[in-house]
Amino acid sequence: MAKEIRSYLRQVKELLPDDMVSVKKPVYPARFDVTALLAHLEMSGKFPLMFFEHPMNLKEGKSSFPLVTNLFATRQRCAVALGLDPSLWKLPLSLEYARREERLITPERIDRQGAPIKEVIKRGGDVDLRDFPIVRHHEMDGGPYIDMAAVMKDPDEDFYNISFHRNEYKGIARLGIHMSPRHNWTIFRKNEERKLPTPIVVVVSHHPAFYLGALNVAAFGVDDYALVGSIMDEPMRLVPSETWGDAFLVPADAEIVIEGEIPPGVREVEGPFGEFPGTYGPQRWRPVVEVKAITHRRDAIYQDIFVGHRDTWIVGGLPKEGSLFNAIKGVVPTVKAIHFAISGSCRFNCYISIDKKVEGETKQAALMAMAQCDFVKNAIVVDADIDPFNEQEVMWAVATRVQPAEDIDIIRNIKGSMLDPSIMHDTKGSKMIIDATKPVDRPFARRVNVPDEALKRVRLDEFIDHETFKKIPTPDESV
Amino acid sequence: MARIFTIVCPKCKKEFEVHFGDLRHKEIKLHCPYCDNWFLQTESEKIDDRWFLSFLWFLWSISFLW
Repeated sequence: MAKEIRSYLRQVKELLPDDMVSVKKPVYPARFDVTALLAHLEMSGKFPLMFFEHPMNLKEGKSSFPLVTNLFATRQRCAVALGLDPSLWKLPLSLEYARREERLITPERIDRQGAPIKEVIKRGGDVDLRDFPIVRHHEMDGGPYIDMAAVMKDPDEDFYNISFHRNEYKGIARLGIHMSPRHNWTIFRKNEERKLPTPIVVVVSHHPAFYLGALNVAAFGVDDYALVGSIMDEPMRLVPSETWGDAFLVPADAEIVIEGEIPPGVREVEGPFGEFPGTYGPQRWRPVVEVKAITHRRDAIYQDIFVGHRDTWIVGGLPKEGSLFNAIKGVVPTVKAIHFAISGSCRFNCYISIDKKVEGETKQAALMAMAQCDFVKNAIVVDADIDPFNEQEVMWAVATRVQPAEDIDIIRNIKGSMLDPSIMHDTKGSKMIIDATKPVDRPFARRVNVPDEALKRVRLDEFIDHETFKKIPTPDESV
Repeated sequence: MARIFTIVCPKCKKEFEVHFGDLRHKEIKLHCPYCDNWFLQTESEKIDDRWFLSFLWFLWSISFLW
């Protein structure tokens, strides 16, 4: 059976039963009810998958679409999305992603009759985006936003590209769209230069592996339906769209799909929008999407991502870790692990551990990460005795193994993330490499340790009973 | 993020952020995200479009003339 979000939700209930919270009480997503609840939970250090059974739509009536959000806010749930045991949430999850990223699985074209996405079809005057429980996320947002992934097709070569974009609700059949200058933007520009509209399909809800796959780092020209199929570990089932037929195929097992066109030369005011770094992206002059058709399952689940929080951070970071690990391994074979830390929105701060053999390897590892991913801004390279998934250890290494004048390098005038609020140019900025490894060409102070023999000999439970142990408070100083 | 400016909505008096290159000095109505008001920049009583570092960069770049 093809992967779909409802099968994933059943898996989460089974494997991580405490991870999912259903809310029966009606909520108004466009009045910040959903994000206020998520913010309360976040302040309590809790990040459950939230399922709202009765959200209100943009007409202030009861929406027929339940709303699911915060799905990607833990790596354990992302592991489940890839069909892995939740305990494999650290590097094994990233490496499995990278393994799948290196292959392609040709999608299957199926007929409309067998496609769940065609259970309900709305075209032309029947289209009404207000039926959805579209979420308004942050106070300064220009309006409610659909913030999931969109598919475009290259006009010259026969491949599809999928990436996340923010889509502002602008009217019954109109959305604003902001694209960073990457792959979908390239497709849009090609069409616009020819004064042609750009077909776009917003996949509002699907299995989470679809969205994890959309965040791959493959080169422009790789068919994302084939690559996402590989991340999902099965061929994606595709079906002709309502608007362009066989010329543009859409995911058959999605929950909700919006088909539209971006007209050339049209721009409207869009934003502001609370973006992934946790800061607002400003109001801009951006293209629009004219919605042509909406198709969905009869009992479709609407999906949202809590942008600017763990939900977007983790989904954006972990797909890059495995790819970068493999790339670094090509030049520094002793690389041990890599992690995009939560503190850097899982984009800007990249921690790499290596078992350094010769001087100079650290910078090679860092430069490889920066070359592969333009949003890596601060690369900290540590020794193999430091766990890059433990930020306190990484910072300890920075504190004890770094002499700033010797061990920090700044690279100027290099492409960064245009959503980085500190960047002074639209796309260009600077990056920092911190070499937090011990030198190998001279003796260096060792880390303190209690002898292994003593650790094995002295058993905690022989001296402190279990009840007393449980009552000892754990200071939360590591976050 | 590139250069932004902040502007105060003439209706609700709240401030929001706008992209400088896209929209500053353009005769395009801006949209207040707080009160849904559409207005021209000339109607706002407060616009902050300072850009200190670029000014310092400009001074540095012409310093060889002195």
